[in-house]
Amino acid sequence: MRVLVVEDYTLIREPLVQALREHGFAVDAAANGRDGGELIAVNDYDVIVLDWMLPEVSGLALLKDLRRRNCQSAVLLLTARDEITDRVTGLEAGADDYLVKPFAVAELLARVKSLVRRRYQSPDPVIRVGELEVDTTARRVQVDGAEVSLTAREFALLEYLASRKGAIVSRQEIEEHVYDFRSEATSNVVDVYIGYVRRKIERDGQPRLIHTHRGQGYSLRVEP
Amino acid sequence: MLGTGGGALLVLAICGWLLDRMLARSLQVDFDARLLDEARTIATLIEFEEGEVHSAMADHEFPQFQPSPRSAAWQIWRTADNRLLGSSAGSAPSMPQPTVASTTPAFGDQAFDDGRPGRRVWFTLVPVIEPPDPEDDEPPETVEAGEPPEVTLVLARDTLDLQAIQAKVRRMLGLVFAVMTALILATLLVVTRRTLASLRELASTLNRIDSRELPTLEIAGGTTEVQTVVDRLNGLIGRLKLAMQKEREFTANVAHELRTPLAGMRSQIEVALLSPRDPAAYVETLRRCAEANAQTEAIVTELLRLARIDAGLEVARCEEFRLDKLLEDIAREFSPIARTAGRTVAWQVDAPLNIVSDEGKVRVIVLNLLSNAVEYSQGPGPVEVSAACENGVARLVVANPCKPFANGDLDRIFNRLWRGDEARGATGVHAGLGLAICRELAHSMRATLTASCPRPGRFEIRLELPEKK
Repeated sequence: MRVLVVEDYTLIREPLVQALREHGFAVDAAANGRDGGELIAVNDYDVIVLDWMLPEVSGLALLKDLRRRNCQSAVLLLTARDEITDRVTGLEAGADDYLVKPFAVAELLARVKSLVRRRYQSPDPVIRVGELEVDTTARRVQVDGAEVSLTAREFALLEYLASRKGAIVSRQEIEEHVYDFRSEATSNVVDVYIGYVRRKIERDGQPRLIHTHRGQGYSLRVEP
Repeated sequence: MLGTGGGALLVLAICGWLLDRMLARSLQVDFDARLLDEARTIATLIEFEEGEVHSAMADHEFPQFQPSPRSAAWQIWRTADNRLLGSSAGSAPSMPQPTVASTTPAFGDQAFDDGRPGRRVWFTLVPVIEPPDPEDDEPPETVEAGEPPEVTLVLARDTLDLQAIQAKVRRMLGLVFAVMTALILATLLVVTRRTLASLRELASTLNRIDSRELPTLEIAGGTTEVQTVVDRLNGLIGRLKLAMQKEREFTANVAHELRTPLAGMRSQIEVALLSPRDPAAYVETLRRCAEANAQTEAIVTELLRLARIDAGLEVARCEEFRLDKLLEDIAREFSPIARTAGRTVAWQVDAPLNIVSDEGKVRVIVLNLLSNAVEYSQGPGPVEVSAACENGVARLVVANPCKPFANGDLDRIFNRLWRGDEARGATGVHAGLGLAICRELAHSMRATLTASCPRPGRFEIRLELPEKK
């Protein structure tokens, strides 16, 4: 899943980016509202972690602007303002969640994951596709009750496909939601990683889980 | 209200007393006038005949001089030797001999033998000479008549009627006073009860006020006095609301400024603990935490300094020093910092600049202004510092290139915890307290600190200090 962190204070922005990446998210970061707005304009982020008070363009102004542009990304607003009126203002401006500084990083990670689930309408953190179980909270994958070991990138790919189970997902969408600007995404990196994941979750004699749709992309589902 | 009622009663009593005195005086003047008329009538009956003064009063048998419980009295005295020449029956012993003789009537109090109070009038006159009776056949005996002697006529009457009228008037005045007193007391009672009811309602309303919200007081049917108190209280409540709102904003801003580095520190620590790291990562985390800690400490130090200034504990010293020398020291200290930030500082300082102020505080202000100028410079051009004396004032100006200020931002620049949007780039580093502290320090030294944009793209802060005389 791809997350954007817009926070001007380096001592918060950098550890957040690190924690999110270590939890399998593809993360981009911006230090002011203007840069954040430019990133949002060209990428489809699953979650935007947005500080309220930012230089150049305030977080609240940026939030209102992206909602006006019908941006569907979930927004987690970060602020040191904890008055009820502030929360109401933030939520009414279009934020999906609100976190007051100082916050626990674990809580922020949980909220980001919750927003991701909400975005893909899967309230259960464990996504099941046939014998495949993807636990997005514990970051564990099981096939037919057996644990499967995946790298962070493989898990991110499988998590994205699982969150959109049944739907055809294009390579571009996968690139956008699984890779950030730091990643060295080559032209066939998606195909390569699809191959890796297939080998780990599909068993001989069992129905295929990841299906290739020529010219369209991939889907995760059990063939009837 | 009680004072007003008491005052009204006092005025009423004084007016009643004055009215009584005026009426008594008027009645007495009227009485005296009638007594004088009577005396003048009697005077016409005093004759000089056959060398003797005698009165024809007995001939006329005036009823008022006949012996009775209310009889009046008259006396005729020869002025020359104060010899009593005649009097009404029984009046002579009790009437004092007039001591001053004059043709002008004199009046005085008279006490009758039976205890009746009265008034008397006396004046001198020369009796008329009785001409011979032309019908008298007998020729008058030749008597050596001579000139009639000057006599003093005294006439006295009791004043029982006068006193009866006065007593009646006093009774009426007393009645009026009693009625008015009753009316005033009744009015006072009604007004007092109404006022007390309003005050009770006001006290009850005040008692119900929650410290978290201060509503405007509204007392129905209160008197003018109570309404005045309510208006004053509402004014006070308005000022308290404003102060509380400012305090809430200040507290929220302080919390915001402190939370930011605290959140940074917490994030650093928690992320470091998410999974095992190599030693270098932990060292980096500690370094970042120390950075956040230093920022927190700086904010707290500035807040404490502001609190000390507010409490009047930052007393400015008054010492003579050379501002140009101080600026030289600061230039040496600050130049490396400016260079690190990629800015140059251009100095233009007159010498010598002898001033009387607090050198330590001036140093704090100048360093703060320079730090801000370097931090917030936007666009090309150096930070400029100039200092000169003019008309007994040492003027220090720190200027830097800047972006245009938003409307009203220049006015808010000295507000506590206020930061322009551009300043948000320095979150955790600046809390918007520096300029507020500088201005307070300047005020404590009787100096002035003002900000202006003399032309687009140039921001100036001006410190004006008194020059040594």
